[in-house]
Amino acid sequence: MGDLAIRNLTRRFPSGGGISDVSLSVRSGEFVVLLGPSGCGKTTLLRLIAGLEYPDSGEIHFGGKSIERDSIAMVFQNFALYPHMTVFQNISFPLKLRHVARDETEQRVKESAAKAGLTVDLKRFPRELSGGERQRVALARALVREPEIILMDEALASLDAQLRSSLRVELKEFQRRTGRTFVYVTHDQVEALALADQLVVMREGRVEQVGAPEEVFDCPQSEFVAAFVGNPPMNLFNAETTPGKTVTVDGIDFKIKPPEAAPARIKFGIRPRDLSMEAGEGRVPIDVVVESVEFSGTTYIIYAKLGTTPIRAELSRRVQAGAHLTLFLDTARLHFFDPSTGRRIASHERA
Amino acid sequence: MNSRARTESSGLAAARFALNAFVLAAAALPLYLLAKQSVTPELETFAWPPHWMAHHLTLSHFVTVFAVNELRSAVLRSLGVAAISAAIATALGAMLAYAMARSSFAQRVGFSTVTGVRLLPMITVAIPLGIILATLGIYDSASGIGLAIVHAAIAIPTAALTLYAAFAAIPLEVEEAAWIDGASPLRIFLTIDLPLARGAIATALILCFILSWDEFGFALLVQQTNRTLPPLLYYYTVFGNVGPASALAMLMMIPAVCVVVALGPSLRGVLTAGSSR
Repeated sequence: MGDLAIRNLTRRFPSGGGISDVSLSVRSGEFVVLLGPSGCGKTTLLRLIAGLEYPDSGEIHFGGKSIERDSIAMVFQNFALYPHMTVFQNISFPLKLRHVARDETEQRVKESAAKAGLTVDLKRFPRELSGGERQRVALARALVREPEIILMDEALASLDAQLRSSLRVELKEFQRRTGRTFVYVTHDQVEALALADQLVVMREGRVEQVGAPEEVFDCPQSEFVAAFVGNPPMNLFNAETTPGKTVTVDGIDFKIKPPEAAPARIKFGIRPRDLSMEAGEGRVPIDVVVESVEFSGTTYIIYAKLGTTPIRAELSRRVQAGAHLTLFLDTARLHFFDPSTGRRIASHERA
Repeated sequence: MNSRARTESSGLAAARFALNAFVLAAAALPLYLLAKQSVTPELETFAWPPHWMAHHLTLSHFVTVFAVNELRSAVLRSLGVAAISAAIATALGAMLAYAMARSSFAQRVGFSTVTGVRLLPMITVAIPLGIILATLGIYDSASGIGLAIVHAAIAIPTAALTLYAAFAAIPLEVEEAAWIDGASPLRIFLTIDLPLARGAIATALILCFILSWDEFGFALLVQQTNRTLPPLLYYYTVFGNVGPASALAMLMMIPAVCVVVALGPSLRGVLTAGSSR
């Protein structure tokens, strides 16, 4: 077991895309999720770790040495099972290549099939299995040679929603039990927040933010992360500030103090769930007109207008469309960003 | 309205039936005459006016074919040449097709070369080929190995084009999985790609076999005395041995008949396999 260290890794493609100057360190046994929109380079980074691509520059070290194919297994988006082989032949293929004796092969195939929760007859062919069963075969095949790192590329994306969420739970449990390092690529933020010990948000080939999921969610380091992570997405407003005094959006004074070093034009954000109908300490009121309401199962998502600016709120009670409503902003949960760089400005409460 | 539509469509059906019958007759008539000829005694063959049905039946032409040494060895030689050339062409064509399916450079070069070879009038290279084979000492050999090599060269484009789409249809992801599992590129080709393309490989083998089995020009030039079936059939015909020639022609149809009988309804799939995804 060892740590994975990625240093200044660059791989650009002539047709565009790839990654630039990515550094990342992953501790042994950690579940790392690479999250980002399509084309952000997350799959390229994964393929570089797998050795399926060569970097233009930079290094990938594992346990202090150059990374080797033997310490890695990978689960592909469409599982990439060998269609002409039975389940048993699929799982035992890596062992066959390593000339493992027949008895031991059988033993290890059974073990990893059990670990992956695979209960089907091993003599069947992949085409006879359901999506979830194929996923388990792919996992068992990845596990059978006891790799130190398991790479997964959108491995749940082709399954239906219900199966996806149950396999998500299993996968996390599986990782805890086996103690392997996982690097998992997804564009689904729900999956990312649920699975990650360490969440890596990527954008246009660069790492935007690295941290625990709670940290990324509560304290996004850039406007992009703020907008990308969280559902319903964070409200982001273009605002004008006067130093130390006011923040106005569309001429409406928010009666909140801007951070110390705020520029004249600023972006500020607040998550829909940090708006409420109850007044309280540290909360400032704003008047909105409700345009439409969606029931999410536990809460109501309110789409409203503040003057001419759209705003989303997540409330615990239903309100009528067209209603005039006073919402309260939790000023402790505001996020400020510099519109010229997109980076976070530390607010005075936290500084 | 309804009844009129019905009359029209039944009129159309009748026209279609008549057309089908005509095309079938045009295709079947020569075959029927050939079959009749092969079992008609020599004297009746040239009867005037010609007999639509043979008045006497005989198997003597087939007996002749098997009794004459030259004929028997020609059958064996044709089988050997076709089998060997099909095997060589499919093996080399598979490698070319795989490269074309996996590399855009190989694809460009491969397609233009294959097309170029197919456009080249083959007979123009007959003399150099003859010299090469003579130098190698395999011109007009009893085994027909020289002709087998020539036929293999001619058949490679056919094999490669048949196999190309089959390899291109195998997801790259599956090969990458095998690579990560620890397989070498050769191992991936042998244990993943070839088994997955086995349908197209069978098709390529059949097409290349028939290509050689039926080939006349090079067979005539390369196997001057140790002949294969098509030139032999030609000599039998021009020297007036119509009966044995017909019997031989019937025998030459056996491989095609075998393919049709063995593969039956899936034949259409086989002949177009690999031609589209």
